Amino acid sequence: MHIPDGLLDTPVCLVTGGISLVAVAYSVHRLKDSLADRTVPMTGMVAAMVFAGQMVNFPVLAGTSGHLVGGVLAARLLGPWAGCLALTLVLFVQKFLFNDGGLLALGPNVFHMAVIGSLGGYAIQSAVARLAGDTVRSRVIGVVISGWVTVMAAAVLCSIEFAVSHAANPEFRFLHFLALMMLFHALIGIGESLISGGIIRHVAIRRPELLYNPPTTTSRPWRNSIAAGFCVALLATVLLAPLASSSPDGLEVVLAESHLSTTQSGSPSLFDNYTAVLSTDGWEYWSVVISGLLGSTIVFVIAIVLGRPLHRPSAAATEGARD
Amino acid sequence: MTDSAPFCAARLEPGAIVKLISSVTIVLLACSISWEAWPAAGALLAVTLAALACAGVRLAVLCRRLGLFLPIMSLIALSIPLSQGFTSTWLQISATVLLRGVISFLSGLWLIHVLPFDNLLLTMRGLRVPAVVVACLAMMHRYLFVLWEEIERLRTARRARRFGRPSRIFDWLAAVGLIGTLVIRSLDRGHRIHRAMLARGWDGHLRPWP
Repeated sequence: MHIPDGLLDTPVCLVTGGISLVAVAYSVHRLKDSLADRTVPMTGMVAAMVFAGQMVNFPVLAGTSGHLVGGVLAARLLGPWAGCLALTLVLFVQKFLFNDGGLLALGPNVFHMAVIGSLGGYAIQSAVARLAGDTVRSRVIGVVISGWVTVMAAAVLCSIEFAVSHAANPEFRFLHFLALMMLFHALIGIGESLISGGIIRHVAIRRPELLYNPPTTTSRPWRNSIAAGFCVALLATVLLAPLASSSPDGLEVVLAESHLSTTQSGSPSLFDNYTAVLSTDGWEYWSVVISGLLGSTIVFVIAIVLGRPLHRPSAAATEGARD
Repeated sequence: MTDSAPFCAARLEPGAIVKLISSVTIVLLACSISWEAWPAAGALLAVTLAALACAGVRLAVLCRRLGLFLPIMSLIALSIPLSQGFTSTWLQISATVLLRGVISFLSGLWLIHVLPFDNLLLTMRGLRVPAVVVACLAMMHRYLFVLWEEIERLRTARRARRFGRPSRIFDWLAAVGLIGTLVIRSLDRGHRIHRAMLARGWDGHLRPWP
C-alpha cells in the first residue's frame, strides 16, 4: 500500500510534491526527444501494463502477499524518462480511480516510486552495465540490484520525511523508526528485485529487442568489474581499516574470561597485529593502512593466479552461444 | 485517439473544480487536526460520511472498501508505537494518524464517486495540464481494462495447466512468467497501436479540437 494521508506533515508532502513535479515535468520534456511520436502509445501502454502487473500477487507468508512496484521494470523497458512518467500515471490512476494512497501523499509516493524508482533505478542499471559490460546478463543483474537499492532508498527517505514531520517532538527516536522501516523494506526489496529481475530475464531471453537500448550481443571480459572491486577494497582499507574498533573481539573476550593467555606462541609474523614496521609512535594509522594495502594486493594477486586456469573455457563451451 | 473529448480546450466545468477543491480541503483539514481537537475530527468525519451518503455510496460498498483499507492503515499507525514505545504520547499520535487516514480515505472515496475519470481528464485539460500527460492518461485508462482481462486469461490458462497444490516457489515462477508474457504482449500491442496511429496521420503533435 502507498503512503496514506496523515502519516506525513502537510509541508513535507508539499515539498516532496514540488520535487516530484519538477522531475516529472523534466521527464515529459525529455520524452519529446527520446520517444517523439511514440510517447503517448508506449507510455500509456506500459503504465497500463505496470498497473495490471501489480494485480498479480506473490504469496509471502500465510495470508499475506506482495506485488510488483514496477519502477525499475518500467525504466528498463522504456528508459528513465518514460519510466518515471509511466509510474506517475500509475500512481495517479490508483489514487483517482481506485482511491489507493493519499491525495497530499501523492507527492511523496511519486517521489519514492517514480523518481527514485525509475530515475534512480536506471542510473544504477547504467552503472552496472558500464562496469560489467553491456550484455543481457548485466542488464538482469542491474535490474536486480536497482530493485533492492531503490526500495531501501525509498524507505530511508520516508523515514527522514517522517522524522521531519515529527521534528518538534523531543521523544522521537529516529534510529528506531529507521531500523523498523529498513527491516521490512529489506524483505520487500528482495521480492521486488527477484520479481523485476525475473521478468526482465523472461523478456530478454524471448524478445531482447523490446528492452530499452537493447544490449550488444558481444560479451566483454569482466576486467572492469574486477578492477573496480579491487579499487573499492583498497579504498575501504585506506579509509576504514584504521577506524576499526580497538575493543577485543569475541575470541579475545572468551580467552580473557577463561584466563587463558592471548599472547602468540612465538611464531614469526611480518606484520604483528596489523601494525607494520612503522609501528613507532604516531605512525599507527599508516601502519594499519600499509598492512591493509599489502594484504589486499597479495590476496588479489593470489586470486588472479589461482583463478586464471578456471576462467579459460573448454573447447566445447566455446562452441556454445554466449550471452 | 480521434475520440478527442480529453483534448477539447478550456472545458472547465465549475462543478468538477468545486468537487476537487472540496476533497483537497477535507484532506488538508484532516491532516491539520491534532489529537486534542478530536471533536473537530469527529465533525469532519460526520461531514464526509454525509457527503458519501448524498453521493449514493451504499453502506455495503463503504464497509467493503473500509474492510480493505483499515487493516493496512492500522498496521501503518501501529508501526509508530512499535518503533517509539507504547507511551501515551505515541499512542495518541498513532490514533491521530489512523483518524486522519480514515477521513482522507473517505474523502477520496467520495471524490471518485462524484467525479468520473473522463470528467477528471477534461478538467485537467481545462487547467492547462500538458496535453501529452492527459493523452497518456487517456491511453492508459483505455487499455487498463483490456490488459486486466489479458491477465485474467493468462491466469485461467495457468490454472488449467496446474495439477495439485503447487509450491510457493512454483507460484512465484509462474507469476513472474505471467507478468513477463504480459510485458511482451503489451509492448507488441503498443507498437501496433503506434503504427495504427501513424496510418491515420499521427505525427506526435496533439491538436485540440476547437
